[in-house]
Amino acid sequence: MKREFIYSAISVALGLLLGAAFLILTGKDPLSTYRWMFYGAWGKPSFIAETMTRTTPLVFTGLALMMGFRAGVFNIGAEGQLLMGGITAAVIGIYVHLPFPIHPLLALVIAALVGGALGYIPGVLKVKRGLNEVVVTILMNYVAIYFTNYLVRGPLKSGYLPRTAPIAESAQIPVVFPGTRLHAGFVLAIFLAVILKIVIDKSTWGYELKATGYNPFASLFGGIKTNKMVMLAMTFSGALAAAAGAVEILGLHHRFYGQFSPGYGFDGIMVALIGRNDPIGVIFAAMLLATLRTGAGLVQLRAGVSKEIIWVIQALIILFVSISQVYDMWFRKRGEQF
Amino acid sequence: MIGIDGWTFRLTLVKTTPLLFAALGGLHSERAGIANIALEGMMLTSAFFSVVGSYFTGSAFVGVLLGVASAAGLGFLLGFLSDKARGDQIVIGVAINLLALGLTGYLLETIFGHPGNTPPVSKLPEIYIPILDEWEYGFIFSGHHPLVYIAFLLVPLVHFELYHTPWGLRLRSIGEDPKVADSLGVNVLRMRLCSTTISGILAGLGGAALSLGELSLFAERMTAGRGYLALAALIFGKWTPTGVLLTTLFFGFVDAWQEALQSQFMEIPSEFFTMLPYLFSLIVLIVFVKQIKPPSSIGKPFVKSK
Repeated sequence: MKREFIYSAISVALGLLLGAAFLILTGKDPLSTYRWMFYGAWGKPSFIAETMTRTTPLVFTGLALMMGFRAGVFNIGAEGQLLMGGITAAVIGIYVHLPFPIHPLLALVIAALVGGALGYIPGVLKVKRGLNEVVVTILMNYVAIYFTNYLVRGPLKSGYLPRTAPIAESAQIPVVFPGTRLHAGFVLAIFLAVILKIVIDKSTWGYELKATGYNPFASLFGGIKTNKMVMLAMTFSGALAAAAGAVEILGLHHRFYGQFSPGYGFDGIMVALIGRNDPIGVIFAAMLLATLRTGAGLVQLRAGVSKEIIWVIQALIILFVSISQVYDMWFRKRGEQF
Repeated sequence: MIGIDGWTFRLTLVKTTPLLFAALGGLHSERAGIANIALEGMMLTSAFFSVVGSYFTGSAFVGVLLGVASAAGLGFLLGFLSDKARGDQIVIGVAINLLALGLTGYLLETIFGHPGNTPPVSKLPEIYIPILDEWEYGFIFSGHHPLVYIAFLLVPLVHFELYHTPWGLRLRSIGEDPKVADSLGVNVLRMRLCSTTISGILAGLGGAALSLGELSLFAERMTAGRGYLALAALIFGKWTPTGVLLTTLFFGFVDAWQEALQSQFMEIPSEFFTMLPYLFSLIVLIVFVKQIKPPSSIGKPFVKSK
């Protein structure tokens, strides 16, 4: 387990290094780029709060993808589930009237149920029909993207801009530190990660989940209902992704608009992989990506480098993570020599 | 049905072209046992570099060559990392797609000075077929850019390649059982590397058809999931060239139809219609595809036994 985290750290370092080479190639200064990136994310208390704010949805979607990977399925539909969760939370926040703590909680729970159903569909199709969950969830993503955009330009439109009306004040997740955007959703995300860590490491269910992902045939032979585990994992995965969207709407944006997610659902893939499918690893990986994202603003402003560069760096990191087998072989060879 | 006339069929051929290229590309790598979710990124990268090539040389053909070369590079990368580094093919595909997104976005801003889209560049010429022009419905088939004709001509070619050449037989065999193929003396690793590179070339032609054929510029994220639709078409089409032709034609038709509907119902937000091709393919997938059997070795890295 520990060695895996070292591989992630190596991948991050290599990604940043190759990113620097790429910056030099395009005539930019990598040192000033990285310095502004770090300063922009961690340089001031208000910057740190912003980084934490951006960490929040990434922890949720990272956990969502982790659930799938643990059972050996790939829920690439997190983005669509997140959007559907967000629009569900917005609708409940706008049209249902309830007192404060119940209102956001209900919105969150119903959004998670919707997401769970959306995760269940590809899970069932995979188990019963052999349909590849990757293709099904990708198609579902596009349906969700265009459907929610249609809603905010059509039936749910409020005012001139393509967005919904604001949610009621009673539905808002409160801000933790006044003067920043950091809301209680962050606390919830960390809490969930810790709970999942305990459940996965200590419960029979967590063991069965891992076993299903590790070797479905042996698990089936050993009496684990692997089909059920796959469907459960997809359902929970969908629910977590939808919760990410709901928390963003209830805690941060307070209304739904099409571009509120810069692809947090897809980012969940990276978060889960860099975090090595471990809930605590997910928290750190989410912070890493949030650092890149938050720092990107100053990179563009001060270093004069297009903030799109962070996408290149992220992709490079993931490429290095995806070939971790190589590090493994390298470590083993070294081990044999000594 | 509403909004369907000769022009819808003409547009269907245009819309099918990028999907058909990409799906035939995916067919090459998946038949060789390498899952190719990176079609999207290959198309996007080629769409961008095609425009860059055309912008700097003024020649759309040079543009297509540059675009195809860039996508071929990504195809090679997919094959190389899948086998040499034994990475998870889906994860590598996702990484390539992210790389394409970042690279095109970053270079767009760095080369052209602003985000969003490039200025218009010289596009591929339209080619008229004299005999067809005299026929009443000739306009459906004539006057397209060259890549449209090439895409459809590729279908019988790929069919021949796959089922009537030794190379095609080997390609299919390594997708079903690489170990047996290996024991019979087939160079599995080299063939898989070739097949992913070919898939890059074909997906690249699809990207170029989009940016230099259908349009004459590059816009951020302009492929909008076409690579994934091509992948779905590959699955519906059961990994065969003729199957792929039919399914991509269906997707192309739905896409052309929704564009016609968009202009007919201006009061309904366009997103509703844009959603239809994806929704239709999802429904088709759920309703009509009973049990599918992909190439057996797909997704697994090949390790040559000593």
